[in-house]
Amino acid sequence: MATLAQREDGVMTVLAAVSTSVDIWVSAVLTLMVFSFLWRDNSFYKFAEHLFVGVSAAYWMVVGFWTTLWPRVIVPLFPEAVTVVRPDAPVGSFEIMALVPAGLGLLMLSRLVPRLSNWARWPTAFVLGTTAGYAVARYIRSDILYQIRAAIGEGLVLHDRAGRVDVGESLGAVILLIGTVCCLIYFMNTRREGRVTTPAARIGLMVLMVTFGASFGSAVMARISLLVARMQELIGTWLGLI
Amino acid sequence: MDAEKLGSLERIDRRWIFLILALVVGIAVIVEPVFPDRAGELVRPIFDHLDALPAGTPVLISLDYSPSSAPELEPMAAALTRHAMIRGLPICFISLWPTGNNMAERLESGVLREEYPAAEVGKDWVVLGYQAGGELLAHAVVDSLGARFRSDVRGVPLNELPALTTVTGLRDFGLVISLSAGVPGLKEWILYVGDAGHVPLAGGCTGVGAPQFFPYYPRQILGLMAALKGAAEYEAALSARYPDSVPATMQATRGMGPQAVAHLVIVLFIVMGNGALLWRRWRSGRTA
Repeated sequence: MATLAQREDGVMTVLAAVSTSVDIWVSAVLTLMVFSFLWRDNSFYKFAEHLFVGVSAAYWMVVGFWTTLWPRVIVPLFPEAVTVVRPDAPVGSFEIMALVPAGLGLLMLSRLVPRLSNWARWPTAFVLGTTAGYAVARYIRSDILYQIRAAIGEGLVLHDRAGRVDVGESLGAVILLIGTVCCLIYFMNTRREGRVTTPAARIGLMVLMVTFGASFGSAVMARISLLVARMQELIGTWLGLI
Repeated sequence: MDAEKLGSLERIDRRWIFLILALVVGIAVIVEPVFPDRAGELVRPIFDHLDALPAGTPVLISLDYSPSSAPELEPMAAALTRHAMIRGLPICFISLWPTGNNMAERLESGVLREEYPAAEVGKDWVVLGYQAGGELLAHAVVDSLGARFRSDVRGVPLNELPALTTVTGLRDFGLVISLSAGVPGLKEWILYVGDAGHVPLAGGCTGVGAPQFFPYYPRQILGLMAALKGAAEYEAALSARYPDSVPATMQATRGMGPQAVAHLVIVLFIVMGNGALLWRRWRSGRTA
């Protein structure tokens, strides 16, 4: 926190409590290095970028090992291994099912050997197949059926809690329905130009533009939030001016 | 104004915009203007639901974000944590993101241990942490939390955690909240837990992700905190309801002042650029 101090000549000066913490200095200097890209591409930015990529890769590798490989593969296949980390931990039993992910994982590594790289298709196919099978039903229900119900399920004349017609909500429901139908018409590539489809597609395009504008506005808001947080870190935590 | 001046207004170097934006945000961060706020239509249901839960009902918060999105989502996590502590609701933190354990640690040190020194880990909150699997993990724990989580991050088995004595699966939580910065996140919680498991679900998301979640409200999610604004609205509701139990100005509320000022500057630049364009076109039309 910055404080005011009076010198002998009477001039008030601001004493900023600049942080003495090494990690805060590292964080602040790296932030400034990244911000320097706004001026133009330079060596400081490049250094920060490469450092970030390297640290991120190492972090993910360590976390992946200790949260996935160790508890899901190594410990089930070699139960005594658990005592390496915690000598007092109870030793479990051998889990034969752990051989399945271990085997699939080893097949993925076959890409490293060009002659055997085709074997990596099997675990990829397994992941793609199970994920797609798992997801299709959920997407149809949540993103299609439930959205249709949300758009027209309650009708176009909506009522408030007192039972009166809610004009605002009803108008919103009508606009939502028109917008949805017009957007669908816009995306019908086989549609013929006509007195109904052409203006409907144009309305659909306008709805899409409004949606993209809202999305872009939200994205800008998000980026400004990040800027504000970095400024608070630089001005407050690092320089101690707030 | 002549055409040359108008042209320079349209072709203003972007670095001037960056500099002005940085100066304005920097000054606003120092001055800390605070604008009055209140919980809106999307945030209010989450607050009311949490506020109406009987004391002792556990809530689950999934920290599905990383440091790069923490400025938007961490204030939500902090506000929800404060609300749960005030109401006596044990919190269970999990994460679908590998960075989730660190995010939980930040909440523990920054909010729980600092503001609620009497609260105990294991009793008032537990951190089950990150498990691999994404949406499949979320779906797997709908019926049984123990199916994928054998212990908390300290290694204490689930059945020895007082906070989870009433919990078997996700339906035993008073509310499940995903604070989501991407995939896997709130979308997966909706598809695999909320809709599939009929679990009361709410969410918080970054500004970038907000538009894709609006269609799920109110049928598929109870409420939505969108970006820093959503967090500030929740903080406003918390301050209004429990003025003596929370810090006077919380993280998101402090951030919204500079945010609003920055938005004004951006709007000003958009108006200037487009105004110059329209003026030039109008002038060239008259002279043609």
